Amino acid sequence: MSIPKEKISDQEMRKPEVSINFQRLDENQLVAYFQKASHVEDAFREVIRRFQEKVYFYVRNMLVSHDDANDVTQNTFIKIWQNLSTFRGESKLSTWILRIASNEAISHLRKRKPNIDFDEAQPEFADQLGQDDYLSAQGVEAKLAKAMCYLPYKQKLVFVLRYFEDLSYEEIAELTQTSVGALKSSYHHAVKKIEIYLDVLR
Amino acid sequence: MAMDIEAKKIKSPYKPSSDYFSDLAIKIQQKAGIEPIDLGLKQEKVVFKPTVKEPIQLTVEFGFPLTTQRSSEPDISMPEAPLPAISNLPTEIETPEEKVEVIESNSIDQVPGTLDPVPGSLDPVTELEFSDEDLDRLHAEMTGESFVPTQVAFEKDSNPVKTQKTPAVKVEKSTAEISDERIPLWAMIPWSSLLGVVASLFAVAAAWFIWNQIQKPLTVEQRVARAVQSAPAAVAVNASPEKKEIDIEALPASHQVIYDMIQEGTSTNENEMNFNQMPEQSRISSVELERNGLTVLDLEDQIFDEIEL
Repeated sequence: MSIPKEKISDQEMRKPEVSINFQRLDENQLVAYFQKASHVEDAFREVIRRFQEKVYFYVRNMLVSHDDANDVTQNTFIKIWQNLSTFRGESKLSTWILRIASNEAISHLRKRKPNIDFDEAQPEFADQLGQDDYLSAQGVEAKLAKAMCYLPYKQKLVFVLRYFEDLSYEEIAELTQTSVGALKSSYHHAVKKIEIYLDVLR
Repeated sequence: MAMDIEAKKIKSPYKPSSDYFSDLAIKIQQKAGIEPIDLGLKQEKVVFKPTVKEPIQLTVEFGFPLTTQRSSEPDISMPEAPLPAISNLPTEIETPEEKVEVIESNSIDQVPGTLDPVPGSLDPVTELEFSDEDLDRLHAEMTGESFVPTQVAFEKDSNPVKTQKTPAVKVEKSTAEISDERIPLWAMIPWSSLLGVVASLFAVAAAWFIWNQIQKPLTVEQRVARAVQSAPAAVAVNASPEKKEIDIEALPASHQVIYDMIQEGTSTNENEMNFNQMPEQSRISSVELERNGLTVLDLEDQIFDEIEL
């Protein structure tokens, strides 16, 4: 049973000495504690606990390499920590976090390859598959990961957000600042390409 | 048939352990400069407890008794047997003695009751040894009739009739007979073995033929490389028609308006298709066109701009 936001602000937020079970708070209640200096660390820990895996898997799907995903995930949360107090809850917390992760991933790629073209596929990602222990290198999952390496980065971004993160087109549009129609088209093309690749890889 | 990945969702292949995320959480907290606390991301080991299902009778009033099963943990703890004190333990080991009970012959007399002979039985012939002749004799004695014993003629014939014996199977043959009925050469050849060898050779030849007929499967990279090589050719075919000099004034008025666009090969200006830079009315129109499937908008580059934090 969730506690209404008003109740928390009236009762619990006036008493910082009372231990709060952050795991029971919903997203809005958690955001309310971002502004409270006495609880911001606990709130940030709860953000890590809730979104760490989501951010890692999202970045990993985009960058393929575990080491890159590890670095970008850490940088993402450092940025979240630095800007936690500025988040006003105008968009969903998960959307805001994934937006930061997207930008960190792009920044990481630009550092690696300054003249990278995001309209082109990056097939060299496929070479990084299977180079670490955190990958099940067999089965259709591995084939899907390989097929995704042949997608242009923009299509891959939309595909990952829609297919793996289960975001709605409206949420992706908010995250990427683009129109829903363009996203639908891009996702459709990505799915078709992956299906063709999977048939070839079969 | 193409694989439908939307019908059956495929999971991500990346599977880091829960220990990794626990460590990552600690690292993030350290980098953020806050006191690192274990967030309990490690998976707890699952302990399976054995359960036993025992039926319980719930209702008994009318009809059939309703029974169900109740899961309970069996009491598998063994009661500890009390250990005897060391001082009470026997110092010598007793050897077991064999107790043999001798049954005396006169003990049979002590069996209570008496055994009655089977009525009608005649000593020394038992019931099983009775024959029809005995019965007839007994009947004759009782009725006073004369009894003539019948002789069963099972005597061995001293002069048996000589009959020509024809053995069913010839067991022995003279050497002359063997030489006459010699097994033919073709019957001595092991045809089944030969057929097996021929079949094996045929299978090897067939496999060799199929192996040569099948092309080595191409890798994805090779297929992609082929597709890339064939793509410019397709473009070249489309781009091959030379531009013809057209008399603009000969064209209809509607065609004259878009003549420049046809010559350029592009129907729109890129700036006009940038969704974010469009005027409001154009945006609405574009979305309407898109919803009706009349146009497809491409992704804008602005999605990769840094957000204002």
